Amino acid sequence: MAKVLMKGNEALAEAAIMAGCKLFFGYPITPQNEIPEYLSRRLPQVDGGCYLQAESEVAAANMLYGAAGVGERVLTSSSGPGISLMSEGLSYIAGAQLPVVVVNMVRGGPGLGGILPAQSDYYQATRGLGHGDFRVLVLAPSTVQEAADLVMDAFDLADKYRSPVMVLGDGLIGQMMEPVEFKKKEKVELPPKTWAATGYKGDRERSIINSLYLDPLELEENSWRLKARYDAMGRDELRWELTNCEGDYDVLITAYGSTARICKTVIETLKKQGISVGLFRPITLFPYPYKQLRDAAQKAKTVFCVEMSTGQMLDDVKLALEGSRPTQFYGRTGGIIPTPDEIIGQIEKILKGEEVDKR
Amino acid sequence: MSKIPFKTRRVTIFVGDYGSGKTEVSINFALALRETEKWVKIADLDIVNPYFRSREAADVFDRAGVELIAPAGEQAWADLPIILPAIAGAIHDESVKTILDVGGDAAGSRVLSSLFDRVSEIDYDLLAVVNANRPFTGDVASSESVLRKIETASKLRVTGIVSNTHLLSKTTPEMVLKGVEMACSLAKRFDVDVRFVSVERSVAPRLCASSFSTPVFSMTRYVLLPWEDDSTGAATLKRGSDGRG
Repeated sequence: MAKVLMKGNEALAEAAIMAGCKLFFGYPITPQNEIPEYLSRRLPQVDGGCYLQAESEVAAANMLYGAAGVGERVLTSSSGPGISLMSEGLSYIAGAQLPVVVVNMVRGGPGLGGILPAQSDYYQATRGLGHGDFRVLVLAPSTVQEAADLVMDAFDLADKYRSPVMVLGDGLIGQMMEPVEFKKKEKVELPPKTWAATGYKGDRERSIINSLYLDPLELEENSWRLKARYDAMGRDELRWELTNCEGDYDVLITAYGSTARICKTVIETLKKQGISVGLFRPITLFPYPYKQLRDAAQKAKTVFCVEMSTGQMLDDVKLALEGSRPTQFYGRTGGIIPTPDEIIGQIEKILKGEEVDKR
Repeated sequence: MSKIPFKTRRVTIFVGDYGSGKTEVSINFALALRETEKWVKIADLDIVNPYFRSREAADVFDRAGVELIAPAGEQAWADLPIILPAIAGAIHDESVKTILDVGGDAAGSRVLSSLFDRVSEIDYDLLAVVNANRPFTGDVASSESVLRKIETASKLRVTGIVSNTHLLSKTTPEMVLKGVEMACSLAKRFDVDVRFVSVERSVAPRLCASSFSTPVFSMTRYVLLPWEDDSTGAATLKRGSDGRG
């Protein structure tokens, strides 16, 4: 297939269709509206496709529960406030071990916040998506192409682990346009969905989709079953990218999503000045590639975390380093995107042994 | 600065599907028009897109002496359908050349139906920007369908096509040529002509001028991403306290 020019949101939506997803339930919110808009045009063209705008995000999350419960691939997308509304349903979905894919194109928060790009939902995505002992696998793209590729993977990962998978972008990833190519993915061998509630005909055990366990031992069993899956994700699904880490560097930047794109420009600019800086970009935010970051930090004197938040991934960076290297942090938020020059200014401070600005 | 290759009307409206390139074309068109006209206004009428709107080039317009009509202050960053009274003023003001950068698709074009309620009094062009590399406008039939819906929603007729087929930095001259061919077929269906082929400055010299008769309008990209080189003084998504970049 030839390259087309697409917004990140549109590319995500088309990728979901390519991954065999025929169902979308959601509710509009900026800056992800092109996902429902695109799917409302495209899904009616797909055999068995259904696009439905729910009456609220709460309803959409429960529609996801139903569709996943009968074994269908299903997608929703939203941004911060909408994801918060979905969190009860997502906890039920996790508890009932259902595979769904959720896209969050993050805008500035808290509250209604603003409509411009931010990375301030990192905690929500990696730690606090809902009540109870559960996590979700979180994938963070930094290009339109990667956004499309990760959505296709997200459906396979969700089915593999019977778990919600989140694609965490920011408004910029959703709104910017880049050339993208849709490559037919090799089919991944996945376990059959024997648990799906497809209608009982007496020839198998009943499939019951449920997250209520009144027996405490059964509930504990369910939580440890989920935990075992998260551990398996941590073993088998880690993704990260190293840039300019072959040679020596005093400063290692850690950044994800579109912030990592800005940091790549920083690295290129500094290279021309004879300064070598490395970049560690986690692609899975949960599970986090702790060991890989610690290894990359070996050569550095300082690890410099840059985010569009007041410092959320920074916690994982510190967990990764286990105190082996000092960290510095620079963050802009509320919709402000740090410029390459801003970041270069901070790196110059680090190289002089100074503290960076708070923002 | 590329010259505008035809006689302009008093009001030039750019419409098209989402992401067809209306904003970049509008910005470049306004700057080119300002070379010959004393008073040029550009109205950012994008009520459907939250980012990358012509209001982000406020500094560029300021330097060039083009008057930008767009929501100011905090409202500049809103995703609200704000229609400023100054737009109707500019449309009916005989002493000024006005450009309207309209939001994508029929949804974005609906706003025109109320602004042009006295359409017979206005000397205007409704130019449809088409990029054949975008989804939903990859061929003549689908492009026609999108433009017909825009005509219905706006209650106006398309008077010309702008061929804006590109793939950002991956644009090739062959791609531009294919886009022109599609635009010509599309123009026939509306009984209009292809007004110009818009191409990014670096691609323009690589085009073989003899391969088509449509005039070429060479453009600079003004709305850039934060990591792109802004040595041209273009507007990246920069934020200022006044809400105007």
